[in-house]
Amino acid sequence: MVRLALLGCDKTSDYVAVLPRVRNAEIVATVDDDVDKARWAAETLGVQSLASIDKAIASDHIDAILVHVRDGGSVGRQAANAGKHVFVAGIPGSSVAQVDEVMSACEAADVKLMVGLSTRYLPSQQTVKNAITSGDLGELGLVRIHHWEAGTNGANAFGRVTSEIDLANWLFEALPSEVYATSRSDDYLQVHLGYPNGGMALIDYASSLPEGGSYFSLSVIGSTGAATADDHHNMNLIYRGGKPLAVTGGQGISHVQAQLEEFVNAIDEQRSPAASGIDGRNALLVADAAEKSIASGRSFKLEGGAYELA
Amino acid sequence: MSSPSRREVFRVAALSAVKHGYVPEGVHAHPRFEVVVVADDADRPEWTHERNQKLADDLGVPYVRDVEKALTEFDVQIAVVSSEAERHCDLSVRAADRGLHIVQDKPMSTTLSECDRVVESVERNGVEFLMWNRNTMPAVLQAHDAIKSGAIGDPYAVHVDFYFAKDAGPRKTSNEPGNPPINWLEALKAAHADGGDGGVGSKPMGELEIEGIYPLAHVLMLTGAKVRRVFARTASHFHQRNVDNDIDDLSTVTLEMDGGVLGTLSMGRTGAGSHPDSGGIKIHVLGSNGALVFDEPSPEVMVFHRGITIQNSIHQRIGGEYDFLLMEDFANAIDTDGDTMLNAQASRDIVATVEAAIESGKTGMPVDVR
Repeated sequence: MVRLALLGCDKTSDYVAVLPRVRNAEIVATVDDDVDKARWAAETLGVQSLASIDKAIASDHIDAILVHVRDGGSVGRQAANAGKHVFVAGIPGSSVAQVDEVMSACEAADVKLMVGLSTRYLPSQQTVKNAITSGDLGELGLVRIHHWEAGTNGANAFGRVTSEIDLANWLFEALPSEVYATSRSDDYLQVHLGYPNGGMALIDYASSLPEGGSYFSLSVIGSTGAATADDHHNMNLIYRGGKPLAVTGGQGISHVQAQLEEFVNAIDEQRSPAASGIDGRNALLVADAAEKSIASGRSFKLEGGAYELA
Repeated sequence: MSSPSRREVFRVAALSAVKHGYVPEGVHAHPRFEVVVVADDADRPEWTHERNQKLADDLGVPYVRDVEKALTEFDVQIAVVSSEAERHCDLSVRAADRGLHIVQDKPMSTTLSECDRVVESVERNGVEFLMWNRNTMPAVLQAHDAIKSGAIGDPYAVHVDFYFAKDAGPRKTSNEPGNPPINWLEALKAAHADGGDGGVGSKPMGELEIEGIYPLAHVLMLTGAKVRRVFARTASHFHQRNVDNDIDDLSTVTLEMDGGVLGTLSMGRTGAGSHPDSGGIKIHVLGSNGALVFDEPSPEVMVFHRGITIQNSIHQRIGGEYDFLLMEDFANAIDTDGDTMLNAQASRDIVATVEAAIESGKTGMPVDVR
């Protein structure tokens, strides 16, 4: 049984709701700078609320830390240095160098680092991935992702699009060999990726939607089949006078449970988790190339593990 | 040539009809257009004469093996051109130079210089030109109306998926080492049986070159913006004939347009079994105040029964007036001396965009559109 502490107890996150479901794990403590949030999470989960991150990290009763705070990389590094396994919700850093530091700390301490690339674990994405790995779709040729949402509180668009880049990398099981990107102000960007063997991906991300809903669409095309997981197909209609309202069918929170169980199992089985630091690092590497592509108006090619001007 | 008065029926010459007949038939189906003769040059190969003769027989009109003679003797005002791709523009120029209005099948041409000849001839002769397109599909019109009404504000990005879930001969890697490459013209002649011969001609063309006019015409209609720069990935991913002829059957294109409008295009002939219908065709548009997502084939009816296969088209399009609306647009342009929904210059610019995308796919670099 892996003993977990939750760092960051935002009421809107799914972690508190899902933790009691996670097999082979025991949640033992919650921590948050906001005492009320920490207390709420502790009471909900029936565990103790610790006063500080330092106390969680120093505790002998905690094996692993679930880091769900803004500066996840720094906290993750502290946890690793204290010998705790680390799960970070999102990529642990905003630069490749920052992720490298966290990875180095985990490697030096011989603890596991899992990056919470939760998009991968959505039931829709898992179904698409299984269709690819089963061979039903043949050789993957094209990935197309649209992700649109309302304003993101000033978050950088390149930071927001890393989960889509990771999704494409994960589906192709490779780093793109070519990167070209375009953008419009800071609320929209398009990333065009070339993968080995003629593979290609298009990603567009917008934060310009009016408040009220978001849109996600993934389609893949292989040499013998295709798969689509998109909100358009899964819209339901509500009639209440005037034009009907379209609502997206929800996918639940099992994807959060799935990734936490993967983390726990990786610790138990002493193996690397499926979404490791290197995956987060690769997504940032591509996002960085996309940013440089926009700045230069040029395409970039992968040369020796880094992206250079084509 | 005489000028017909409004609502008069236009007399039409079908200049070559060597591939799918839906263009001349679509013209003929409109009450204001009547194909009165099929014509082609006498020195064409016999298989082309056979197909021309078949259309003439189907329509109950003569087949004349002399284009100029047919244009002179049949008092026609319109030419509908559906020849091999590399002959499209030459036939159109010959007709335009005689003062005929032109309806032309896609692709406009295999070379940009031929497109330029058409633009010049149409302009010089003051005739109308309509490139056959899909902009009158109900969903495309609906998307256009939504944008025009201001429903999503100013459009700033448009994305079109355009896939045909059809085979195009043997699958990739089906050719044993040492076997000769698949001959393009012979393969396309054989594809006539299932209507997959849109690129018939001597020059091999990828899907981007054959079908790119359709989604790019959508982009133009929805944004009104001209494409200035592209970046593309192209691959021969599905079919051996495309591998053997070094042409794409799958592509993605980044579009950079006037006014800072952006977009992407993904398209291909993705093979049977890749879609529950004939292929996914979808339009996404982002605007300053919202966005829209439309399925181009809608509205549809789904029909299921024992023994059905994907090739039977479970999803069946309904309410299609697109051919009628295209020809209505053409007739209106003639009546009012206005412009068609996809004129010669716009069609030429689309060919230039495709040409730039193909170059980008080969070089891995963004390419300016000529």
